[in-house]
Parts: sequence; structure tokens; C-alpha cells
Amino acid sequence: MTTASSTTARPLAALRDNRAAWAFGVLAVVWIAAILFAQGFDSVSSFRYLVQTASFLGIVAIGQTLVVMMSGIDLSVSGVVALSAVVCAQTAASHGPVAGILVALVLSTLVGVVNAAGITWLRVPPMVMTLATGTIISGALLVYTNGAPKSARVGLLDSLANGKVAGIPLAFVLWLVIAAAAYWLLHLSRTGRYVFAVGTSEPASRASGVPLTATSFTVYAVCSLLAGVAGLVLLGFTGTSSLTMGNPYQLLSIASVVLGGTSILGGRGHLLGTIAGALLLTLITALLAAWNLSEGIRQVFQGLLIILLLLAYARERRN
Amino acid sequence: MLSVEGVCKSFAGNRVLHEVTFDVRAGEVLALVGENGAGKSTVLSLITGLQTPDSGRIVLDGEPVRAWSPQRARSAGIGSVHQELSLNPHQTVAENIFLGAWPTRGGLVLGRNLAEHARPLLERVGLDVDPRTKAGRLPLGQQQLVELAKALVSRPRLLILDEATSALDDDQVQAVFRVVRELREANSSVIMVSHRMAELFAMSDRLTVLRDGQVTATRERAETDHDDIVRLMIGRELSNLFPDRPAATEAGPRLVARGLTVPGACHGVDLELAPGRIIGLGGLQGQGQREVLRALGGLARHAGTVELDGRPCRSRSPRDAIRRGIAYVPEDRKIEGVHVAQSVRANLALPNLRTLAPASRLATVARGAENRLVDELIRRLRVKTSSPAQQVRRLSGGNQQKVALAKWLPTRPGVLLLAEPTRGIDVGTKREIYHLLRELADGGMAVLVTSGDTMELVGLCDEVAVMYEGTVVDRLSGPDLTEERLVRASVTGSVAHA
Repeated sequence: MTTASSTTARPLAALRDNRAAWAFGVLAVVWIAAILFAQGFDSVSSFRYLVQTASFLGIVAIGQTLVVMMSGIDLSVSGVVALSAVVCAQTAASHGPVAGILVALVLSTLVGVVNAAGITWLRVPPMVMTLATGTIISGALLVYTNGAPKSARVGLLDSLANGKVAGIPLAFVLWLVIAAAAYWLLHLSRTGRYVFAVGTSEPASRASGVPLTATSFTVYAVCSLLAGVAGLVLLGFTGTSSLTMGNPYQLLSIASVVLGGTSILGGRGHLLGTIAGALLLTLITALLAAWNLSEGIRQVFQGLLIILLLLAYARERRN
Repeated sequence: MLSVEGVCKSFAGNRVLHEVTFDVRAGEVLALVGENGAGKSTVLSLITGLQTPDSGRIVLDGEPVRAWSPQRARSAGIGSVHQELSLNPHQTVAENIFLGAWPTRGGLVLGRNLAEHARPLLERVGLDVDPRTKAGRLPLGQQQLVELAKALVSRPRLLILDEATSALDDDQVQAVFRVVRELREANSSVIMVSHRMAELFAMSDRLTVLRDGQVTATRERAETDHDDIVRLMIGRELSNLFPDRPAATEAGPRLVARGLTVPGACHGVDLELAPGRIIGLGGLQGQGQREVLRALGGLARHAGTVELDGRPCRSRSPRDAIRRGIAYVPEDRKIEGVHVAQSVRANLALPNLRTLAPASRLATVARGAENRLVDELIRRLRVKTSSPAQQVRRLSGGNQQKVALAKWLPTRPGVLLLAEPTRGIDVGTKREIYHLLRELADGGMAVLVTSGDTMELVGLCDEVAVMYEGTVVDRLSGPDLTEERLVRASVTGSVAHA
């Protein structure tokens, strides 16, 4: 074994195989290209606006990363985003902002608990279970609001979504704080090891004594809680709640995870990659908007770009 | 007929094959022997087109092969059966046999006749099952025979049997031998890989020995013997394959099972496991041995009573069992035993995270302590891995088994359950595992082992309980524990009176 050559070759090879690093690389290239070739991407304010809007998607995507890493999927996040915003707006109007926020977060977390219960105890496949709860939430919201959700100015949320600290949008700061906490949960804590183990092989994890149920509940609850947080920030950002405000986040959150280099099959990837994934998708959306394309064409391009990027560096490997 | 000429192959800087040269003649059975990691599987994957050599060539009928692929190998008449099953469990036996080679008429699959077409093939491999059964319903051994039938569909001129008999009982092995003889008589060739030396000597015409990726010798069967081949394989004399048994201890039992029953698999099984003793569960394959272990390990619902240190204990999950100090090393190494897609480090740390992050599930795993634990286990069991970060997938079978066993040791289990602990493992590693198990028993563990290998049970265990149709029919120990009596009890299902 030639140790001399392998020690020099390894860091480069490790970087090549690190798909989260690829995500940041591609993000940097696209961003530089946007600054050079597109109108209006070179100002500090555009940068600020971009990271602010990316935060909404990013917060949802971090929860989604935890779930996907365990080889699950959460299709109820769009419903939970709307649930959180609508319920908060409704409750804040009558009982004050703090009650609104609390009720919204508790309800959101509860959705995750129900998801986990269905998946672990009733053995419903995650895709079916979360799609069903998402659908139930949408229906329930329609009944609850009579189709006319309230708008509300919740001061606390307004400043959280639109405020700045030292010129940095607060929403972005919140996103980074959440990312740091999730990083610790996934990559440093015991629960994180269990998540990776389950995502790699459930039978081997069961035989090794991994607490499957507890891990599942933790992950789905955290994912829903984060979708709820995103809903609140969105409510603060727009000042209004709507029944469909969560819709873009369902598939975009999964796309962020995958473009961030995490395997959709679970067990492999890195949380930080998802941050790059969410920024990348937000940047692409903004670029397409800047080119004044019609909504239809924009969606076609967005879909094509996601496929292209995925082929470029985030393909599933054959075993 | 086929020759491998000066073939070299490396994976990520690891030299796996170096200047390997041998040939297979028409109408010949060639045995390819070597320890795990000697390069047998890699050579075979070059022949079947799964991999391409870095240098050297493969010559078929005098012509070097070009643009070799599994597809081309198959159409050139090379068929293969592997230890790892490739059957689709949800399809019927007949569908599996004809997968990719369905009998057709005018482009339409003759689905209705599939079962009829499958029958003669099943007969040939001595398998008496309805071809319309779902393949996943069959026991492991029968599935392996279905694989053989599948390989015969394309009428191979060269058949590769890679540990194809590892899950078979004696009758089934004889059926495989019959097929091999038929092929030889039809002037076809066979390459056999097996860890059962007796089978190789019974069937092969020549033996080619690989060691560390190089051919050490090719011998005519008539001119060699067992010891000679083992010497060539490991480059040294293999003495004391089995460890000595200590004098019987008087320790009381640690785990007592009474009337253990797993519906559909075993019933009324009584067992006593004591510290310092290795108990074996013998019998023909599929007599409920596996389920006894799974019940004790918390993986199978069961009735009956189990007492641990005098207190009743019912393990509803592996977690329950582990908490009580019962560790289970499963039969299905790659699915349950280890996380093949994770690193050696992650595998070894997993059952020990409780001690590496003791405070709570949210506590940070102590990296330093983890690395020390992992390094210590790798050193203690001599796991051959390029680094702790290596994926377990890339280890040889023997080293994977070492990982599957090693990960439990720091949890200090009082009871160790092992299903087929040395299946498909080379003789050198087998010896290491036997000695380790004895060492663990001497250290106070109660050990329970199932095995289809009679010699292993007789050589290793203090006592063997023979199972037949789900229940224990005989218990052998001391001078009664001989291969002959064990086999007789396994086959007849009754107490063998000497």
C-alpha cells in the first residue's frame, strides 16, 4: 500500500464524494453567474431579500432533511405551514399574539405525532400517511375558516420576518439558529446516530436495539414543528394567511434536501447541504422571475433545472 | 475451454488480484479454493462480466473476450449461482426461473405454461415444490436450488457455483452434485467455490488455490489431500481448529426456557444456558432452530416461560433483550447483522451509544471514547479493514461477521445467541471465531449457537440439542457428542441409542 500517495489523494477524493460540498459549489457558481449576467442581483438589498425568502423554504427543508435521512418523507408540510399561519391569525385576533403562536406550534407538532403514530404503529407507508394528514388538514382548514382565512398583523411575527440585526434579516438568523440546532441533533447526538442507522437499514437497526418508535416520533414531530415555525414567519412576512400558502413548500422542501446531496433513500447526506439546496432553489426561482417569463414557462424551467442539477451531482449511486 | 491469463485487479489502491492464471477444461469440474478475501469472488466477477480486469485477459474458446458484460457472458453459455440469493420473493418459483428468459411465442409470454416449463427443471435439481409458490415462501435451501434451476435455463456450457451449497442439507447437496455430474458428462464445465472441503474433494477434478490474490498452486485431485490444500490456502499448518473444552463447571443456569413455542416454527422447547458453556442447536436445516434464537432475542413472538437469573423475562423486542444482556448475532448477516452501507465505526458504535452518550438520547456522542472503543474492537478481533471509516459492504464475509459479533462485546452480554456464526467464512476466520467464543464463555458468558455444520457443533459445543420438526428430540454431550450420533438424531428425529 502506498501510503504517501493515498494520503495526498484522500482529501480531494473525499471532497469529490461529498455531495453537500457540491451543493455549495454549484450555489456559488450560479450566484456568481446571476451577479454577472442577470439584472438586479448585484446589490446588497437583493442579497438580503434572497436569503430572507430562502429562510421560509429553508426552515421547512431542515425538518424534511431529518425525515428523509430516516428514509421517510413528509408530504404534510404544506398543510402544516397553512395550518400554523391560519390558526395563529385566527387565535391572535381573539386571544392575543402569544396564545396564537403557542396554539399554532402545538397543533403543528401534533400533526407530526399523528404522522409518526400512523407510520410506526399502524404501519402506513410514510408517503401515504403524510399525504393523508396533509389532505385532512387542508379540508379541516377550509371548514374552520369557511373558506375565508383572516389576515392579521402580529407584531412579534412581523418583526421576526421583516426585521434586521446588523443588516442581516432576522428570518435568516432564525434559519441559521434552527440549522445549528438540527445539526447538533442529526450529526452530534445519539438520536442522530439512530436516524442514520434506521435510514440505512431498518431490519439491522431493529436487531441492534435502535429505538425505532422514539426516533420516528422525534423526527416527524420536529419536522412538523419546523413547518409550523415557517408558517408563522410567512404569516409575519405577508401579514395574511391563506389556505394554499404552504403549497410550494411540499415539493420544494424535498428538492432542497436532494439538491443538498442527501440521498432520498435515506442514511446518507449532510444537513448543511440542505441550506445550499434551499438557497439554490430560491435563487433559481428569483432568476426565472427576473427574466419576465410567464408563470407556466417558469414552472417548466424550474422543473427542468431541478432535474439537470440532480443529474449533475446528486444522482443515486448504483450498488 | 476458458482460461484466465495474468489477470490483475485493484480496488481503490488495494491489490485484490495479481497475475492470476488458471484454466478450466471442457468436461471438467474445477474447485477454486482460498480464504475469504483471497480473491475468489473477484475472479468470478471477472469471468461473469460484472467487473473488468485492470490487465491480463480472459480467453474463451481460444478467443480473448472483448467488451465483456454479464449479458454477453450469459449468451456465451456462462451461468452462475451465488450464495446471495437473487430471487424476487414476491414472484412465483416458475416466474423466477424464467426471469428474463420467458418462453415466448410470437413475442408473447406464454405465462400459462410457465409452471409446466418449470417442472422438468425443478425435477432436475431435485426440488419437489409447486412452481406456482411464491419464491419468498420457500426455506433458504430450497430457494438456493431454485437459483440453480434458473441458471440451468440457458443450458450453460460453464456453470459457476459460488458457495451455492452453503444453505443446503445433505440431500439437497446431493441433488446439486447430480446436476454437476450431468453437466460433466455432457462435456460442460463447472467452477465450484465452497468452504466445505469435503464437497470439493468429492466433486472436483482439479483444485486451484488462491491466497492473497495470487494462485499458489493448481493440483489434480488424485495428487493432493485436505492438509495439502489447507497448507496452500493459509500458508501455514492449521492446528487446533477448535479450542479445548474446559472441565465442566458447576455454575447454575443463567437462562432457562421452558416450553418455548413460536407458532408455526417451534414448540415445547426446553433449554438451559449456563455461564461458561456453549450450547449448540443442531438438526437439519429449518427445524425451528432459527426461531428459538429469534424468540430469545426478542425478534419473534413466543409463548412459554423464559427465566433469566431466576426471574421471569419476556423479551418483546430486541431492545428488551439487549437491556437484559441478551445479544443476538443473526443468521442474515447483510440484512440484520450489520449495516452494510455504514462504516465499520458506525456499526461497532451503534449498540454502545448508550454508554457513549449516557445522559439522554439528545446527548452528544463522545467522539474520543467512540474511536477508542472502535479501535480496540478492531484490534481485538483482528478485523481486516483499511480504516474504521471503511463501509462494511467492502469487507469480506468473515470480517463482516467479526463486526456483527464485535459490536455486542462492549455491552457485556450475559447471554450470547449466534445463528450460523461461520456460514460462508474461510477456515482461518472460523478458527478465530471458535476460539473467541470459547474465550467469551470462559469469561462467564452463556453461549447458544445454531449451525448446519455438524463438525462445527461437535467440535465447539459442550452440549448439542438436536431439533426435529420444531422440537428438541435429543441432547448430546460428553462422549455421546459425535458427528455420527448428531447426524442420526437429525435425520431420524428420535433419540439415538448407541
